[in-house]
Amino acid sequence: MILVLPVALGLAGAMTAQAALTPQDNIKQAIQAGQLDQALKLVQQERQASPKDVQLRFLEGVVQAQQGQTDKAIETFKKLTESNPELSEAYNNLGVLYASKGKLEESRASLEKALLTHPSYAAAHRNLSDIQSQLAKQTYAKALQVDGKVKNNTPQLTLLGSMAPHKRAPAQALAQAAPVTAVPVAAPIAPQAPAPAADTAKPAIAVPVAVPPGATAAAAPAPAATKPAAAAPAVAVAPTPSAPSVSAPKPEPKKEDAQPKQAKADSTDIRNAVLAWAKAWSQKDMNRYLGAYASSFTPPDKMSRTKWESDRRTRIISKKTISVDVNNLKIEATGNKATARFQQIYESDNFKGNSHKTLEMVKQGEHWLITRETVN
Amino acid sequence: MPTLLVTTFGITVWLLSDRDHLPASVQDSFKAAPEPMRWKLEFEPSATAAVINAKDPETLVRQIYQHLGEGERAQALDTARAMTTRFPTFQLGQLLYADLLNISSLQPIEGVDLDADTKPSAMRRLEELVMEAKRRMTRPAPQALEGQVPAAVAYLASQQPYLAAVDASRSRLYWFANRTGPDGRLKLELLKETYVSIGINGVGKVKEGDGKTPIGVYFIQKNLPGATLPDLFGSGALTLSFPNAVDAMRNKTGSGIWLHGTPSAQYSRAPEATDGCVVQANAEMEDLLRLPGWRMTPVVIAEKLDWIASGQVPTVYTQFQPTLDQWLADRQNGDAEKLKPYYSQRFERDALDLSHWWPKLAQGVQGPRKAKPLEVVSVLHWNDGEETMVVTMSDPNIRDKRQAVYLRTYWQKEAGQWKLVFEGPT
Repeated sequence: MILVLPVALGLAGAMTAQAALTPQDNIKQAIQAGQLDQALKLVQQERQASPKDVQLRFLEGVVQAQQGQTDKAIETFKKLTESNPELSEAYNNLGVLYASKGKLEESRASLEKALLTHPSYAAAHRNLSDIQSQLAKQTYAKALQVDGKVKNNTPQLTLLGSMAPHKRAPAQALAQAAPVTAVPVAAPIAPQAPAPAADTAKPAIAVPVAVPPGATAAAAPAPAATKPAAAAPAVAVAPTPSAPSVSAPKPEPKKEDAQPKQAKADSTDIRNAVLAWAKAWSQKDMNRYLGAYASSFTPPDKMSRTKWESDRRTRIISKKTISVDVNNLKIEATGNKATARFQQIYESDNFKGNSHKTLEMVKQGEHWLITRETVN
Repeated sequence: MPTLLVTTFGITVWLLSDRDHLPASVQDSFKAAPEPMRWKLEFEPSATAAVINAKDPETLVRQIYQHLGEGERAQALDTARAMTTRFPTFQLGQLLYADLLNISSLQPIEGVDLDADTKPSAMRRLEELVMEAKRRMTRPAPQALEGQVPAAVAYLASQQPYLAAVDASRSRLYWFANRTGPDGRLKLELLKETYVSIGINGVGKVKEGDGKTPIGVYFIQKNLPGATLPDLFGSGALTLSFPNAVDAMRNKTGSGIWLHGTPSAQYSRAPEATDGCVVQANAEMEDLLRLPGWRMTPVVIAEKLDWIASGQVPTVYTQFQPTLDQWLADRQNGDAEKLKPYYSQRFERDALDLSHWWPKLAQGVQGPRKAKPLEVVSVLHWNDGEETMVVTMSDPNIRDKRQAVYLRTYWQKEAGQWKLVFEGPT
């Protein structure tokens, strides 16, 4: 059978154009033209030559989806995400396909994963969402002609404190030993963020907007300089208003001082991380709450991460009010691992409880994340 | 404050469900059988900016609902954004945009936080906007009105270029061009149909300050340019002939019932918001003011307009026409004694009765025979318990521009007979 693709597609049919088309282009065009059987044939043909090719596997999924073979397509995309967990497009398509089968929870989880492949997208998505509700509020005020009379309780936005590893300078990317899944940094910038007192113990904070270009973090050797990565443009963010746009970095103490300071700084960071986790839980802020857990977090009872997340979500969202207080916090930190033990005072609309909790934590990038949560 | 989202989104759901009436509970519309979710294939991310080519925001609101009905939420949001940019004082558009923003957010807000003293006015405004949305979205499509005319019009001579009608229950003004041919068969073309606001207390004006819009047949008198009026009147006003002869007989009071524009802060006002005037968007008002020959346009104002098929003569007119024709003939013959029985004992003009007016009326028809009979310009009628006919005529014999060319008569039925209750120049 002779396929005259350019004609069928109404292309200004130059032979050269046809010659320039890659097999993938041909498959795409066949899909767009609705010639799905032909597209599938092409995919299978090409896959014989290169069975591992990600794009071809992806296109196969697309063809299956368009053919209405939803289960097959789900299988294809699922396998793709297993071998290529960074493929946000595959997660997206999984989400769409699950939704078409009415599996909305699975769909939601997949779409969320699509965003998490690019933590900055997830943060941007969350910020966009917050801005949209804020804009909605203003627009309601305009609609009801009560401009200027609306009380302001602004949402807390997320300012990213670091960039994804692959966007950093190549040298540093190499220096990063582990393939870190970058985690969005939830840096509270709203004034109500608790201001930890230990200002002096903090690493020199550079706020990019407040510091002249010449005096960025890179110019000031930060005390956190135990790893080469710390000298990267990864900037920490002033978490409190009490650290006003930090002026020119102070002359740095010698390297010897840096070590104990680092430990103290870590301890403060861990403390803040625990408090932020408790606060997110109290505020039912699921994004920040779940963001406090590392990708390597082990859910209890051999539960899958997805199942655990959805369980937590259901439990937390269903409460009218939650209050989580942390008492007698004790922190032990060695290297990039830490254990936080404390008394957890939990109170919700239907339950009040007091327990001893242990959080095992790991430092990923600039952030301390929970890897295990136990009650003793 | 209750959830705005639910309040207004409720309308959305209802509008999309193609129902004629609001469901008993909006909840019902959520119980529809779940449909499998569809998808569209996209190879390259497409950023489509909404194209705004409608000149009135109501069309845009309709487009937005259409997008929503097709599951194109992003497009609906884009259109709403563009609409609010183009028509920032169209509060209904802002409400829709706010709702769409809110449903697009992961954490929708549950209404805005307001001071206790602002809350009542905001809640009232919300109710008004919801009502405006309902009125605008449930108005009959212009196509559905094709071939129909307001039943109040019995005859319209081709020299009378327009006819206007207001349906208060639908918050709608209809502006027709008269396409009646030489055969005299009524033919109207709908030039414009637009949202209007009426009196804050509805219709049926009785006395000055009652906040109601009068019901009946009125005529446009003159134009007051917007520049000469306070901001409240927007781009200008056309004054109406309230109170008319029958209103005066019934001792109705009030004045200054106009058709006018909107203040600068509001593209449109609530369905029931005025002191009795009929108010439309400035752009619509300007369109009317630009029309040549709007003077003397009859304006029928009804709580609910009755429509009849174009070309069908209302029965009431068939019954009335012989009386009118005979009166015109007797008048032409100048026989005062024959004319006398046409005049009701209730006749009233400028608060004076028939005993005052009859000598003058009789004198007017006697004397040298006139070359041409009066020409009927329009016949309109309405029934508010009493059946009334309004006949406007022109006198082709008058050449002197200083003299009144038009004569208007009001007729009512008395013991099965049509009688003149008013006759006077206009």
